[in-house]
Amino acid sequence: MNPSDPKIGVYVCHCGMNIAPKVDVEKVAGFAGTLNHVAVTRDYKFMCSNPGQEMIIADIKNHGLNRVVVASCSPRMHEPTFRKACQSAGINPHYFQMANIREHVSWVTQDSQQATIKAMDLVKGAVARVVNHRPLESREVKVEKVVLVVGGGIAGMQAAITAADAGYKIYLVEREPSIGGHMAKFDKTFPTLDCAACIMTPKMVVVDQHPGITIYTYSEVTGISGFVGNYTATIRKKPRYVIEDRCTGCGTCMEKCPSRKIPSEFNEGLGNRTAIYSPFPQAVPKTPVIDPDTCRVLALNKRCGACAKFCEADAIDFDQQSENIEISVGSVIVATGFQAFDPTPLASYGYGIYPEVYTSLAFERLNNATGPTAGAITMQDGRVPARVAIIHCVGSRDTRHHTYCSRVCCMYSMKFAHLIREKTGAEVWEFYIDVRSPGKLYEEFYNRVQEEGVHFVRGRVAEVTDIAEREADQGRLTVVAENTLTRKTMRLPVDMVILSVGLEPATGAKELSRLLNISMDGDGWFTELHAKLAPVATATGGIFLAGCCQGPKDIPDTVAQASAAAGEVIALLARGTVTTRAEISHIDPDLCSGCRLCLNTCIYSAITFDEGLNVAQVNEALCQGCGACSAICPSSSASVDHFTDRQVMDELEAIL
Amino acid sequence: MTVYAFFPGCAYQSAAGYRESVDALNARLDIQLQELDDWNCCGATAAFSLDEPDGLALCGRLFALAQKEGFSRIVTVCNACYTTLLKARKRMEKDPQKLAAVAHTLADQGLELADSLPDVRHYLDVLVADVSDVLEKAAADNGDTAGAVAVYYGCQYTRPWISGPDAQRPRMLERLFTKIGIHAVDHSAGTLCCGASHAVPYADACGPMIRRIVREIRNKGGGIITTICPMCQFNLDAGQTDRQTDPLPVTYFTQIIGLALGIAPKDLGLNKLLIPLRTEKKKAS
Repeated sequence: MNPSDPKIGVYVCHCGMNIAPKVDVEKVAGFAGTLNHVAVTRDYKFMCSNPGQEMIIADIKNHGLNRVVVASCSPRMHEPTFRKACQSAGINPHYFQMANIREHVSWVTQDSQQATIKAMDLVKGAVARVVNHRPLESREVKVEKVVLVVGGGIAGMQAAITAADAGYKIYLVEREPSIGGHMAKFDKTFPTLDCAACIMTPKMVVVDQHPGITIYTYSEVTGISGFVGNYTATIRKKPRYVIEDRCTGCGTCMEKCPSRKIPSEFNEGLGNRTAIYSPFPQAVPKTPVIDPDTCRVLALNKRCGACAKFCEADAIDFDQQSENIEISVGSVIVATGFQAFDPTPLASYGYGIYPEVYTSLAFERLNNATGPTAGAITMQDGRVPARVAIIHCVGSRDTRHHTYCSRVCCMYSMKFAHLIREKTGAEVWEFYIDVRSPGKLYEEFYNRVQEEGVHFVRGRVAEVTDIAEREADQGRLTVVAENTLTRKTMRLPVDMVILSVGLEPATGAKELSRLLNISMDGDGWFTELHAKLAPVATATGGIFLAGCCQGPKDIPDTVAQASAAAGEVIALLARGTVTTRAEISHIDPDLCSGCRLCLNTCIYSAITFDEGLNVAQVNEALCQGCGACSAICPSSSASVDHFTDRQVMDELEAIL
Repeated sequence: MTVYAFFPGCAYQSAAGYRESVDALNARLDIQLQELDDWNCCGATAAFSLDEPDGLALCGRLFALAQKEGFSRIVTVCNACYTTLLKARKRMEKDPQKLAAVAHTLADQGLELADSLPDVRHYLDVLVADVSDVLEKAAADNGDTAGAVAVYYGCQYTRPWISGPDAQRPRMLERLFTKIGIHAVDHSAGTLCCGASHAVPYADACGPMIRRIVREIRNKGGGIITTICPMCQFNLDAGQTDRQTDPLPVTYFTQIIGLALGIAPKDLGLNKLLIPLRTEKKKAS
């Protein structure tokens, strides 16, 4: 078989009802038969199926084909499938070309005749291109069996533990002073009502003590370069002003600190903290941090130093500076989580205006045994509420804010209802749009709280106001809503209002997406490679997603996804090598003018400059075949395999 | 001097002291409102809900009149005019075909409607955004004070035009009042509905709505209500006369600001209010 004498097989796929009803596949196949070098043409219901692939393999063997064109879906879908089929029949996988007549034709073209013409053009282009294809071999590259996990919430912790247990080295980076994330703020978890701390704290301890995990808290990832298996990450450790190696975590510094009236972020502003603080008692690491904005020494330049005076370990260091750490990692798991929607713009719900209006996160703290009231559900004046309203979908399912459903609010709202009933006996009114409880034992929980006497009103609340209708209700809040089932408006006096705020991407998600070169959807969530078949991978090799950074999800789903991300990483790095693209760049030394434009363009640092010869050279081990050098090269000396000028121009010419 | 095209609207002429107080402020603050020549009704809520092309044409004619005289801004003093003009402007900007249809209709009358429609502004916007510095300087500390003033914005001034907290709980006029030494009280009734044009035909339904607004303001310590719209003023003023033993006077914001500038109550048309306002001299300190 002489590859320079092309003998091409063209296969047109029906794709069930996806292509065939719009495109006349038989006509396309017949047309392909009239093209130069085409020896075999066929159309078939599903080319990607086993019989479809076997058809190609048999034709290669029986008819001596040395090039294959499949007209079907996007190469992102099945190019690897057909390349593998070519390879198993004994021809180089790069002697294959795909014509996308589904996404580019049948799905987007109204007129059947036009669709058929367009499909024929694309097949013609693919045939013209495949004639010029050259055999290419992919390479194996060594990888670092080291994983960077960004975010130390339940997702990051779960992924870190799983991968570390498999023997990988993990760097866990968390920007807050402690790992734990949002889950550390919760008291009970739905639907089983097990205590969050009881299931969370042991995991935090495992992460802390695991020999394979290094934790960087109060730190952020500020840079990343390289490619799958071989990334270099830069981590910036913010100064804690407390030396971690010396600190014993005794807590004397926090007792002695005179700046005591700083609203606690961890308690959602319901309680106070000191300037030197540890966000919560079970924090990991135990080492506190000094808040430079409120510390008398650091912020006000006063002579205080109470913490330093009383520290027996001599661990306070007011001169500590931020520190940059560079690490080599093979893979990255992004687990940066979410932030709660800030309901301040919805002034009609009175958040920030009436003290008895709480966000759900604030209520989690109010209800928490380690929270500002030690878990007693009381109002700001210490009284126990007699009636509580919970407003669903605040910031979610709202075209003015987030159109998506935040998925967890119905369930946590009903958890609140149960806990309020249990602890205070107060009346609870849930104002909902639809109750969404599609999880294991979730519907059962919904039934349970209904039986516990919780009132459910289907209607979006119009307003929370302090205008009372009756003198007896002065000083209480009134919830104004329409019950859309009874078609009556109601004004319900209550003592406390909880806003079930939705989830939105964490601050800094956009910057991180740029840093890691991963994409975000319109709402700001990181996009997975494929919604169904690659739900934890990203379009960037070796970078995976876990938890809410990919979209709102509850704890069970988060943990499952984190375990999956760890599994993907383990599978990717297990062999110690990864297969890289065969298509890499070449620079023709005879044409290179030595202008060096390509050196700065290459984001993989794969191009070096030979001063002696005055030419640029590609390091094949580093090149990822992105084509940037080829695009910028003014002398056309740089070119990328599989995208040579000849291949691209012949394809275009055939189409036009 | 700042010159604006002025669309007074149908209720302005008969509103209790609105014209007098706006004129007085214009003179003091060097603002010129040039009334559109041959202006027409904006259509209010009725025109749009019955026939959109007619509703757009009524507003479009006002825009064309302003353009003819070279104005890029139209000032109104009424929430209904304000929201109707903004609505028309938004719909025509969003859909060029609607603008073209209105232009076609107006062409029959010899009027030309250009693409760049004029900005629509409430007189309150002018005071808050354009002349607040002048106003602060002019606020003489020997001006009359009326006591604790509660601002009633009504439902159409902020919504749906502003986003964020100011949409539901506007505070721009309170901020201005504070700057010029007027005591503004904080309350929760600023954007509740007063019943608007239903207050007369459906007085039984609207009475409780008006009383809720007044009661809230009284509960929060307000002694005087101030409004920015003739309809709101009329509803709150007339709505209290036969039912309340101790009604709260209902003024225009221009009257309250006029007092702070030391303008005499009679020059502000304050004698036209149904519920009289008693003013007192600020003590010189």
